[in-house]
Amino acid sequence: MHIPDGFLSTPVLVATNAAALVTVGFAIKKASEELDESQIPLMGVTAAFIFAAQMLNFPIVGGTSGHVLGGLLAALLLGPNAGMVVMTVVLIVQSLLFNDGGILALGANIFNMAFIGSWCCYWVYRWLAKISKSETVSVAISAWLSVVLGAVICALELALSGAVPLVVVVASMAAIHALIGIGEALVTVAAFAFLKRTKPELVRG
Amino acid sequence: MLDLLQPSQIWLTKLDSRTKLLMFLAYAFAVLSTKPQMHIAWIALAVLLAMMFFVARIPIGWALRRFIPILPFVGLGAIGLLFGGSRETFIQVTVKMLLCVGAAIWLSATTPFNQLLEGLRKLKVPTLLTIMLSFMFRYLFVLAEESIRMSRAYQSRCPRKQTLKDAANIGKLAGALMLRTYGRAERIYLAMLSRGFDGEFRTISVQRMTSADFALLIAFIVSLVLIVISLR
Repeated sequence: MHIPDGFLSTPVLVATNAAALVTVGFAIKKASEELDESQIPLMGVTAAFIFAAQMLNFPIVGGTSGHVLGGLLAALLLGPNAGMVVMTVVLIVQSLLFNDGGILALGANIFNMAFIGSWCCYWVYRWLAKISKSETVSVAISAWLSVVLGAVICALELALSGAVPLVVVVASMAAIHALIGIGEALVTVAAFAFLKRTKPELVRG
Repeated sequence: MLDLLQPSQIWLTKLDSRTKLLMFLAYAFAVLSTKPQMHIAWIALAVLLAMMFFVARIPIGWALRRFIPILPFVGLGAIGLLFGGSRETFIQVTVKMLLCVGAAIWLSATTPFNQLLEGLRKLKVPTLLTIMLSFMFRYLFVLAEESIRMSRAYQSRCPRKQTLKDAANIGKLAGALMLRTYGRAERIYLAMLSRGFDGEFRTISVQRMTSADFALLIAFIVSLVLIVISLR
């Protein structure tokens, strides 16, 4: 889901980078108000944790393996604003250090995975938790959504760039990520329950 | 995947990181500004990139492995092609991706990450981001190795074929990794306090934009403009 450079057209690049600048700026401002300086090391190391957790592979279907993206997990651990900043940092490192995801396309990737996948889905989780009274179900649904929504928005950006036909790319991205999302949901629920049991003060939400 | 290139002690790594960042941006914009029928310009841009790789003495095998993340997107383009997308668009997008990603690989191969961070600081990227980036870079490999170790220990004690049911156990592994991360963050903060941390992050500035930086940057941008304009 990390869009490389060269795929997106210039108007889409401008729009997504502008959207990312505004949302990340907002999240940084909010996160700096919420957290004191003692939590900066925690945020930085949590970004490294999300990266490391993405290396834990699990099998999906027929020999393919997937890994957790961790967008919702980051927001559950640190709150939506700090969670979004953490995901942004992860995406910047993946792009600049490992060439996973483009540099010009950073705005699009931040918008899809940090803003939609982390910030928005955290509020989906809060809303679900209020109406369903079940934390596990809410975590599962919003973790699944964080992957699927991110993939659908990513597909829309690719189609708007005129590189691939709209219906085909949205359908195939949604289908693949509906499967990957199941793994994301299972991992996020298990990690959330484990942390809630062993160190309740570590999780919010 | 975690394998970084040891920066060689050549003049390229001594250039200011902003120069190389701007060179990358100029190159990527030049690639994006080409039209679908500008095949000769693509070849010229590819030759320029190959020269940049040659000058930087980047191992080909290392560079090729870094192209792997774009494969799903080539696949996506191919699926679009099967369902009525135009062949011209597919070729254009694939070429542009290869050239842009090639330039990004050149950037990360010639610029050590701490220099890149200093460049980002000087380009007025918010302090919270650059501080977190440096923390992440410092602990990334430590935690990644811990994660690989935990994963290997799990697999060696789970000799059956793994299924989706294992995802729940992977979740517990991730939780355990977070506990270790949290403990580590606490120790890091205490260590920072014991070294007199007062809430302000002080950084040193070692890079300067010299006349060599400006000369290279201008020559590079002029050649890009010439390629894009003359070979249209």
